[in-house]
Amino acid sequence: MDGKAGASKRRAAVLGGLALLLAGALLAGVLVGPTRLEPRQVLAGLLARPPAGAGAGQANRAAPPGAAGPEAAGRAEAAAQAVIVREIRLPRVLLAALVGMALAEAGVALQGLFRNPLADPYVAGVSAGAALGATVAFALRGLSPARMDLPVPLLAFAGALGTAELVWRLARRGEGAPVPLLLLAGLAVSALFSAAISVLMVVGQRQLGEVVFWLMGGLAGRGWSHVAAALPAAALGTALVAPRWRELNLLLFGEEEARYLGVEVARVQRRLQLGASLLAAAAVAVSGLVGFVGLVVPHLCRLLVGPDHRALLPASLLAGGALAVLADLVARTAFAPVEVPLGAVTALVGGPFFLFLLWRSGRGHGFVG
Amino acid sequence: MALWGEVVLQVEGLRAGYGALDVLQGVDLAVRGGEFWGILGPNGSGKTTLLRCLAGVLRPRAGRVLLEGRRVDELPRREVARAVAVLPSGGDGLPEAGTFSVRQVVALGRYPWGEGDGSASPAVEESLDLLGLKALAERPLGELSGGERQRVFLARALAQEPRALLLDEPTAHLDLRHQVATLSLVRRLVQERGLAAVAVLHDLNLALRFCDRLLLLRSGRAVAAGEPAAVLSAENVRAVYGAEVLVDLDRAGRPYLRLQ
Repeated sequence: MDGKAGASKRRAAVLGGLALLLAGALLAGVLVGPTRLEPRQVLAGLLARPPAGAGAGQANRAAPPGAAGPEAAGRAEAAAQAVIVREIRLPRVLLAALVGMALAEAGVALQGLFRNPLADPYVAGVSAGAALGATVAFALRGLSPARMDLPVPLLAFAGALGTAELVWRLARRGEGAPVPLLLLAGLAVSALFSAAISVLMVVGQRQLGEVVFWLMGGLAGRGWSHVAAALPAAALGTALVAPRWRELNLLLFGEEEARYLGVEVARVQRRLQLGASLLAAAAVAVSGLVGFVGLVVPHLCRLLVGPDHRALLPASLLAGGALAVLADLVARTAFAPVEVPLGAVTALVGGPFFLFLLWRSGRGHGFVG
Repeated sequence: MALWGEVVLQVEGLRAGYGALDVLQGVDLAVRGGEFWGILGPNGSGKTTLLRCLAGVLRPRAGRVLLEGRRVDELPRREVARAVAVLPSGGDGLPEAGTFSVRQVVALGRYPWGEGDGSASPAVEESLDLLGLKALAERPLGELSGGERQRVFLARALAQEPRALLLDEPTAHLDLRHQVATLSLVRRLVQERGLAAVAVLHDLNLALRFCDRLLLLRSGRAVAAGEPAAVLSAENVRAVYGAEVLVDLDRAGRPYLRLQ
């Protein structure tokens, strides 16, 4: 009994700690940027009532040329700071958290679906599918990654779901997908789709540079329209995956055993596939290809809270959000004023981690019966 | 728990298999509460296939399997799992599964009853107690020996509070002492609680010693079914296994087989 109470107390402490970490990361993300702002100014920017119909355009109008006097200038500066905080930093930081949460949750769902610890939206090719879908919207509909319109996340979702199904059919053998097959299927699908993306971009001839930069994975210039596009898909995806924590636990013991214990395995797998596709689409539509978050975060969280998905899912949400916000902070400050793509930062951290896991799985880090 | 003597699982003209192969080619069986059935037969005779049909995870190609009068393969899985528990032979668990504690694994048996993570259920404590797992309750599954792990999965099956218990080679990875202990416990549950039990077994003498009824399969058909001593006659064993045996009586007057 002691052990049981101790474990749940420890889990609550870890989740609390991760929530604090996420809050701290969000705060740091809002405080730090190319324009040096005092915490007091950031706070003022967050709390200030915007002029009617606030936005970048209106902010300039707040200080019309010729409005003389230091008072007006001060007001104009405060208004400009408020715009930086509210229209640039805040949406970007929230979007980074949203992307990290979605990718981490998608990673947990795909690992449960494929019964394979190396599954992640990027590795399994689902992100590439979402990217192909979004590129169709960019290239053929003339939409831009800089402003989110509804067809982009919708087509990204269609691409993600189609790819999840394709990889499922290619890589599945017996119960789940073995590591080599999953990696090969993910690799082949990603290579094929990136070729298709190149063709689309050349044929479409529109927004070429923007799409290329979007593909590298990043949040530069993202605003509230992106938050509005990603939030519903991410929330719906989470709502599909999170309540399935019991089934995810049971699937670890095998599909047949899960069936014996009362799980409608095919139905649960369909939900996980749908949820992971929504989550990956939400992330990819707004941030391009940001790899390995869905791989690294669940693994770190398993070390912290153990394998029980009731704790693992919320822990991965919080840690994924925090990690992505911090990675984005590094991406935009490490070589300021130049921005490094967020996807490059996560790959630099996640790539070696992935190789370590692959090395370990190759050493027959065995099954238990 | 089931009522003694009432049919829990009924198999009628069952044909089932994989791909082009019909592994079972017309099997009949009625398992009642308070009966311990042993399923015997050479490799490939259809023992595990029969068990999977009884559990409702493999659909019959002809005939039917009834759980208390209703087709088991058409019931929701949760409803089946409240009545039928399975002790699988070596599972297909991932390494992460080994990091669950014994108590967590046993609590998974409460899933069909829809009780959160099941850890608050008295059935979990009772099962841990019954299988002598209290002292190991907080240990990770992966650190246990094969015999201990077997007991954990049996405890998980009992935590389902089933009326029928299906065991696929429950003695396969156990030493003799644990084989006897496992089958003794199943026998006790059958006698004390009216559980209906069906076990796939390899050891003919263990089957003679513990089971009330035996079903002897060859190539997907029943060669004999019923009283253990009658099923495992010298002729039947010769016909099915191609081995010459003598039937002797032990000091308690129970039959046992000796290789000739």
